[in-house]
Amino acid sequence: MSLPSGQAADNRRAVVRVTTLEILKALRSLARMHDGDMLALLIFTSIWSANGEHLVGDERYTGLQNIGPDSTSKPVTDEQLQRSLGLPRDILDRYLEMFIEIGLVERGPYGLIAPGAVFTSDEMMHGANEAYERIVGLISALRNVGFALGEEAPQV
Amino acid sequence: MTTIAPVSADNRRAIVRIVAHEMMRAATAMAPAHDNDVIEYFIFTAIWVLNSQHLIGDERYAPLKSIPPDAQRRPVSIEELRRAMPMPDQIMTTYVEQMISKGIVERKSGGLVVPTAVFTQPGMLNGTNDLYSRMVNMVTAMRNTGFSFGDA
Repeated sequence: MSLPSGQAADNRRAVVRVTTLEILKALRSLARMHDGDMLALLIFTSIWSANGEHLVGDERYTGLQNIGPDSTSKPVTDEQLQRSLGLPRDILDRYLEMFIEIGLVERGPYGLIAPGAVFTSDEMMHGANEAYERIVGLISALRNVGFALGEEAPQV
Repeated sequence: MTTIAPVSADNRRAIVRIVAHEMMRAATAMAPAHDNDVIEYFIFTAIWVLNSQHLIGDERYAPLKSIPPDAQRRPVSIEELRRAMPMPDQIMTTYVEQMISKGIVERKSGGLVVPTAVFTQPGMLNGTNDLYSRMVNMVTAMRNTGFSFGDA
C-alpha cells in the first residue's frame, strides 16, 4: 500500500474524502435533470457511460458540442447494467421503463442506448458544462489538500 | 485560492466522459463490500462523507491509516441524507435499515454514523487505497486528453 510515485506525503485519506464530497455535491446538483432523483441520475449515467466508454481518447468527440452519432454508441444490455449496478432488478426495471417512456433511453436489438439527440437539449448541454466546471473545482480542492497533479515531476 | 488556467482546447465532453466512467468503475469496484449493490455503496459513502466533511483540511486525518475516532464524527440526520442523496423515500429507508442491520451504519442521537471500527477493516483500508490510486489514474487520463492543471 505504498504511495504512487510523484506523491510526496501520505494524504490518501484526505484525497478520498475531498473527492467523494465533491462528487456527491456534483451528483446532487446534476440530479435536477432527473427531477431531483439521484438514483435516476446514476442509472442514466451508467447507461451513457457504458455506451461511450470506447470513445474515451477519441479526438472527434472531445468538445462539448461534439456528440457522437448513435452509430458510435455501444448498446448495454439490461444484464450488463444489472451486473455493474447490482441493485434489485425490480428497481432497475422501474427506472428503465421510465427512461424509455420519456425518450431518454431507447431499447434496440442489442441493448439500451441513450440517443445522441438527448444530449443536444439545452438542459443536458448545461448539465455537461456544469459537470466540467465541478471537475475543475474538484481539481482545485485536491490541490488544496496537497494532491500532486504531476506538475512537480517531469513527464516521462 | 488556487487558480486553474483556462484550457486551450474544448475537451469538456471528453473530460466529463472520463470522470463519469472512472466514477462508475470505482463504484462498481467498491460494491462487493455492499453485496455488489452500487446504490448501497453510494448511500454508505454519503453517510461517512457527511459524518466527516468538517475534517477536510485537518492534517491529523489526512494519511491513509489516520482514521478519525468516533468522537470526531458528526451524525447525519435522515433529512440531511435525503438532501445529499435525493431519491424515493422508500428506497432510501430500505437501504439505511439494511446497512444498520449489517452493522456498518449506527443510529445515534442526532442521526446516522458509520463507526470508526468499520474503517479499520482490511477491506476498507484497501478500498480507500484503491480509490486513491483510481484518482491518480483519472488525473493521468485527464492529462492525456489535454486537461490543463494550470501547469501549461
